[in-house]
Amino acid sequence: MLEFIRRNRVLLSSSFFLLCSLVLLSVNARHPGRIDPLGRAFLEVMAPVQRATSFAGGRVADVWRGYVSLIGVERENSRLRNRLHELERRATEQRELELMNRRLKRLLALQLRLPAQAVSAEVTGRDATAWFQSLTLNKGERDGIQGGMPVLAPEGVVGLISKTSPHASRVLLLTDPNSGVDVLVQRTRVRGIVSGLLEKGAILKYVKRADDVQVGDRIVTSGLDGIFPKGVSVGRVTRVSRKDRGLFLYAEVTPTADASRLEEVLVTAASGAELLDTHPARTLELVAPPPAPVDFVGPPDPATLGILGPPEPAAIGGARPGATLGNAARPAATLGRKHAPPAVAPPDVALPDVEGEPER
Amino acid sequence: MNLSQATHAPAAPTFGAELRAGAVYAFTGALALLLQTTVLHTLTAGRVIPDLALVLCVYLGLHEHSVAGATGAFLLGYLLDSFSGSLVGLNAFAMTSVYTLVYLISRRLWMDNALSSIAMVFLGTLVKGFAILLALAAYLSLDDRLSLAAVQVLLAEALLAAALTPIVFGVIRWEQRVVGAD
Repeated sequence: MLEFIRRNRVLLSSSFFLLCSLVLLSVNARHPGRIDPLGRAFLEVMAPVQRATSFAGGRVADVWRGYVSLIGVERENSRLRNRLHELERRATEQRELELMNRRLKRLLALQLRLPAQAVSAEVTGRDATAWFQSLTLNKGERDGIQGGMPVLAPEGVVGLISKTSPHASRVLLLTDPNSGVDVLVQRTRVRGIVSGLLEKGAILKYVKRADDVQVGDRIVTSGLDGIFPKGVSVGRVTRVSRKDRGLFLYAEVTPTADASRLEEVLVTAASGAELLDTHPARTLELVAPPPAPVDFVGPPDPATLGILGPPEPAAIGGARPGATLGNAARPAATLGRKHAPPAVAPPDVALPDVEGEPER
Repeated sequence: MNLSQATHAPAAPTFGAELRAGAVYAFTGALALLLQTTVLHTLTAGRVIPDLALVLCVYLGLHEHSVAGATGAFLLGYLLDSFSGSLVGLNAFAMTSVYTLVYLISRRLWMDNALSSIAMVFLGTLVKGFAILLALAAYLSLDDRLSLAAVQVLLAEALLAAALTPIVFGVIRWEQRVVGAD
């Protein structure tokens, strides 16, 4: 017996770890985050190094763009080259400051309209594989961030906090295949679920074939999931197909917030409330107009903006610590393994007769 | 002890050497993850990310035929789970599967050359992708999301990882020489 174990110890240990993985998968698929003994520690340890690597990578890229591209210029032009170089560096810096100023102003404009307090955070890392879509943020539990909190950008919904550690957190993006957000088609108030795809992008699910959804329609959050504020822009419908068999149509959605370009985001307390200060012309428009160039004098003072500090604990307390994307974002009746269509139709919109609608 | 035993029996590694080898793998795993989550995203615009952690896992399957090797593969997957997706255990399952497969193959076939290593990494990436899709289908019912685009991403990832295999293996061997764990 001992000889058998000794001879097959690698296979036995591999089988043991496969079993451990399956147990982890089974438990975490039903109750996300319930068994994750090392995940928090890994995240906490790696996040600062990740941030430093991102910073160093950015600097190297800057050096590449600023210096290496100029290699080969003749020596006698070195003075002019250095001068040009200096001006370019200053212009790049100024442009960066201007862009940061705009981004922070837009974040502030969004924060002022949110029903609960929000924490701004920097994106320090992306997902480790191409299969999933997530971001790492530089703020965590110490700043009031908890699992299940919605993450927004001035352009619209970004995702949900899926994991936290004291000084870092991870966001599961809207475009991740495990995500799901309860939404409305803004024009017709048709309700559905926006979910990610393995090949990137998102689709609008559980919308009846006969419902009025057209290319170009804007998708906004319904607020019915009790997590995202109502009326936040999610994306635009880019393709609609009713050719496949089945009860539902197929609609592709392009998210308004391009996660690959995000540098700062807002994490807010979970809420299904509507956005504040809803001017008729901008009810569902989160994008603030760009500031006039003459106003620009430098980077905004974070203290003046008031968006970089941690929120009041009482304000954040409204979040659902246990809620996670994928389950929490679905309607209350669909917390199981599979996504399911919304259980209740919007009260102000009568659903058209499915059979009476002509095939498009 | 006869002459045959004295000539062919491999010398058991000392505890110090095993510790140094473990440190090399831990460092390489952390470095691979850092690159995958930061620099490689910039270089590839996030479309296809070469799975350096998987290359390390294949290296473990080819050269670490011990309980420590299997543990390393599992922990590598677990570490990846902390920075990828939301389902803890998915990459741990995939990485352990890849390790087991590579271990079984390398016990039967001569694998100590560059070409076979590249082939194993290519195969390992496909196996990992298949294991992930299998687990997703089993636990999250994502079978309706499979598409040609997903297969294309998987193939591109496998080719990229295979192309980077000689570099990653070279770095690991260099690290082992530097710390005296070879």
